[in-house]
Amino acid sequence: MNYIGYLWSTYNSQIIQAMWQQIYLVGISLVCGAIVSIPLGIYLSKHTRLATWVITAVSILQTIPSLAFFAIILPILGIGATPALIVLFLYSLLPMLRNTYTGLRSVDPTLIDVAKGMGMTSFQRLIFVELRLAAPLIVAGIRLSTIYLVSWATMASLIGAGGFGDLIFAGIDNYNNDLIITGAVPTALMAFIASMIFTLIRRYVTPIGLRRA
Amino acid sequence: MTVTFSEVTKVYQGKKPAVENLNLEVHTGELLVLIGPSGCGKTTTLRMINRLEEPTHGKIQIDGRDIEKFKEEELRRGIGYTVQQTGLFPHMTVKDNIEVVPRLLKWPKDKRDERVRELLAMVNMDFEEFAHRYPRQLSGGQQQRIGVLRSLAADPPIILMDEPFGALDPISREVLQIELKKLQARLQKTIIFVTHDIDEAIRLGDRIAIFQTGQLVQLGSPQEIVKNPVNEFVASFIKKNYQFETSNLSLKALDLASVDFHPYESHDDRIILSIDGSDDFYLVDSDHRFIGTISKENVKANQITADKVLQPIRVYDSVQNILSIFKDVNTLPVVDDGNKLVGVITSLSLMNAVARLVGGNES
Ligand SMILES: Nc1ncnc2c1ncn2[C@@H]1O[C@H](COP(=O)(O)OP(=O)(O)O)[C@@H](O)[C@H]1O
Ligand SMILES: [Mg+2]
Repeated sequence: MNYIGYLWSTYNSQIIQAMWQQIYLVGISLVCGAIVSIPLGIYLSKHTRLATWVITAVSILQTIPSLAFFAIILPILGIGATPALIVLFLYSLLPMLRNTYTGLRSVDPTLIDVAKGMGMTSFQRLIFVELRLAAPLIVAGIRLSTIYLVSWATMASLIGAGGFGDLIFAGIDNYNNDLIITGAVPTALMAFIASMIFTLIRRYVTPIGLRRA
Repeated sequence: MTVTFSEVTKVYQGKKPAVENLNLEVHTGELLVLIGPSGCGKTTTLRMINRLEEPTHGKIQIDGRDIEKFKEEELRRGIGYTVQQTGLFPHMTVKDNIEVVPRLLKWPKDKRDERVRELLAMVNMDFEEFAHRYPRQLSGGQQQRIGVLRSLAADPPIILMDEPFGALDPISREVLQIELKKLQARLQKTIIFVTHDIDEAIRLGDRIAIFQTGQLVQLGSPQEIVKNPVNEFVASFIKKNYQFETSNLSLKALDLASVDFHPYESHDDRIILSIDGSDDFYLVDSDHRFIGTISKENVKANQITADKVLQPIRVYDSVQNILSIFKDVNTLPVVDDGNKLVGVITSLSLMNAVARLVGGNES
């Protein structure tokens, strides 16, 4: 406790600044990623042949190591928050895209058929049936993206985008363990809190009729 | 409302026709059963009516109007639809499920509420107890009831039912058949009902349409079909399900019995059955085990205890045996080894058996 108190009193201004930068990086890239990947997942769930191609392409993006990705983007887009956001945005896509797609595809076809047979339009079907039933999986995808983004955002410090990475890499450069811990612990904490929040949201969007007792 | 098929053919890509040159008119207020072995095109026929499938050739009309002329969604909102898997939305309560079509039709809340109460009352389900449950909190039979009520919700003149009771245990199935019969007596909807169970078809159908590999092979009342099957296929289809054995002389009790039970009423875990040619009613338990017979008077007076305990006979008892007993009584229940009621011998069924025997020897 004393040690933490010591770190806090020494580095609090850096911690707070890094935290806001980290939240900014994660928040913007997550929101943009969701805006693209969820509608794309909905579209692909109705066009399954295209889906295989698109999901494979997005998966390949995901396999590029983040360090390499930042290195590639550096000569093209330079340094700062914008190139970092672009990389993080691309990374955020896959979990949300895949979960939206899988969630919608796994809705019982009988339900879709019956919804159609009762005279729902395709839009009504999507809103009242498919998305309601896929919601827990979609939220799980958002949660996964968030956790990844929190850790990858530390790498963004390498191209000058700030965040907890600044503290960690400064610590490494200067053999300063205190500084490393000051960057690493809040990163882990942030990932943990985000994870908890989305677990709660997931529970909230799970239809009562489907919740485990 | 009438539903008319004119030269309707449906071919799924790269397959033999699922339905071939179908001509059929479903009359207003009748319950028409479509029956036949699996894959013979019953479901396809049904789904062409609400345009979940489009015919490859021919046309379908409702009250003389081509269904192509309706807007798809509007057509469907005017046709009830129930399927075997219930298709209840698991994320919606019983009430929300029933209200789906009324909501689509933008009924005001009061009217919807009242309608749900009314529908639940029709099947003796308490509103307070059931309206706010989710489907998985209901038994299979209750779920299927809600499925049926949902298809009735907006009071459509036409209802399509695709093996609605096919997944239920025998007892629930019989209870729901009784309820459907009662509802239909009251509502007089035009119902097209798919099943592969000939007993169910005979119990429920005003007319029965028998399909074989996409073709309608016979259409007629249950009596006509049982008495005059048009071909070997229909005969064997009926026979297979009835397990008649008419071709040899070592007749057994079952061969003489009528097996065409009609469920009359259910009380807790007991079912009252009636059968053509007998004034008495037959009481069985939930496993269809024979309890006893009840006179018509007692049934009418709601006196649901067996008043005559006729000794039933076994399915394999010999004719000689039976005839010697039959002198003293006018009906004889027949049970199998598990004491399940499988038929009743009446004067009528005896005469029918003789007629079959004579007919069988001629051919
Ligand atoms: N969506 C479909 N695509 C391709 N073939 C189908 C489809 N639906 C049914 N069929 C085929 O059409 C035939 C009739 O099927 P169906 O109408 O479901 O029969 P039933 O309801 O009598 O069992 C079967 O051979 C079945 O395989
Ligand atoms: Mg079928």
